[in-house]
Amino acid sequence: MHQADYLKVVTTHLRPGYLQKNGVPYSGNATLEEDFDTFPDSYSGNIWLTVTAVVMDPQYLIEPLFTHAHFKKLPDNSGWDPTPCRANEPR
Amino acid sequence: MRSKKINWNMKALWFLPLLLLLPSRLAFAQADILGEWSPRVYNDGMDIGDYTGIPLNDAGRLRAESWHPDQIDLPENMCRPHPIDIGLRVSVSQLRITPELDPDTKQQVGYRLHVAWQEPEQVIYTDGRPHPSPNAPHKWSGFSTGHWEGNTLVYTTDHLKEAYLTRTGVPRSSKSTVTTRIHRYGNYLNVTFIIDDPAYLTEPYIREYSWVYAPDQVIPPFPCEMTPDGTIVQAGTVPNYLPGKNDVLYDFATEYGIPPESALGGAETTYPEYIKKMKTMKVAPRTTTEHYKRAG
Repeated sequence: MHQADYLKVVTTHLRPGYLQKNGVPYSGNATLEEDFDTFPDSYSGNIWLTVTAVVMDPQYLIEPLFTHAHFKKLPDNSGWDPTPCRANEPR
Repeated sequence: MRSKKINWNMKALWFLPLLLLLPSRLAFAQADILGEWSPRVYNDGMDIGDYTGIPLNDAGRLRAESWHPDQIDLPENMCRPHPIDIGLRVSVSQLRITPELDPDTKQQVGYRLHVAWQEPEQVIYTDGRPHPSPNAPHKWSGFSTGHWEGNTLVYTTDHLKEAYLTRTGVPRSSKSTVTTRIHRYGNYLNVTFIIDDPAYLTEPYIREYSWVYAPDQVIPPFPCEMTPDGTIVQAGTVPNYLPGKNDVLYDFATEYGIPPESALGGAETTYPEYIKKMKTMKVAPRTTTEHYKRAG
């Protein structure tokens, strides 16, 4: 067991859904582990947030599925422009 | 008198147990990354014309657009190794991490990474040695020095040879500096690469991958043999696309229904504001159900 310097989130009791847009499913028995890590990059001066998501699903997966996302911290919220969900728009 | 002196000396040594605690605390802060690690690889960047998310500049885009998939069949490219920053990303990348020992003192001076495909190795020195002169030779795995930040091994690599960012010819120059972070989460290992390239990128390019601890893993040897010149590609030729002549460049964007220029990378395309701009751009109609040409 290591000293934690990141945020680990474990989610259960999920409704069934999709792992990918093309219909690959996960079941209601799935467990989602997310590891949030933030760090400065001294070379470029950026601050990064990386999120590693691990899905474990005894019903539809034989091994954990890993996906990653990364975010660069912006100086303000100028890029934050949430849009309402519209049924007539493709996603 | 003598007894008092001894007592004084004993009192002066009160801090010795604390000194013994100091190195053990530092060691505790470091994760155990040694051993065999099995990759969980989901390849991307496999399509010609898919430069999405890469902050390419014009020079990088020109190089990428001129790349032809048959170039990998040239004898000089068949056994060309990948540097670790792409080798861990795109290839059969079972990973072994071992301590790097000083040959004379047998003290650990860093870590050695070994990857299955083409067997590239990278040594990360953590003993505080400086990087060599800018004029020193560049190598496939470059020169790396690192340190621990909590549970994360952070290291910087320069003196790299020119290589690729993707399997489809997006270049990474020999002027690049790669910052790598190796972080262990339980039995998972995450490796994050941040690539700075003043020749072909306008901003850093970040990506990451995961491995699972696999103590019983066996990494087989990877012998590579070149076929004679002219066996696959006509001798004396280098397959390429001249500027503006790449007839498969937009197949990826067409297949996925996105504006063609949005797939060609650039820092602007990596920011959320670009979504609005994309909605004003034209999308090419899908003209075929045949899948775009895929390399690799």
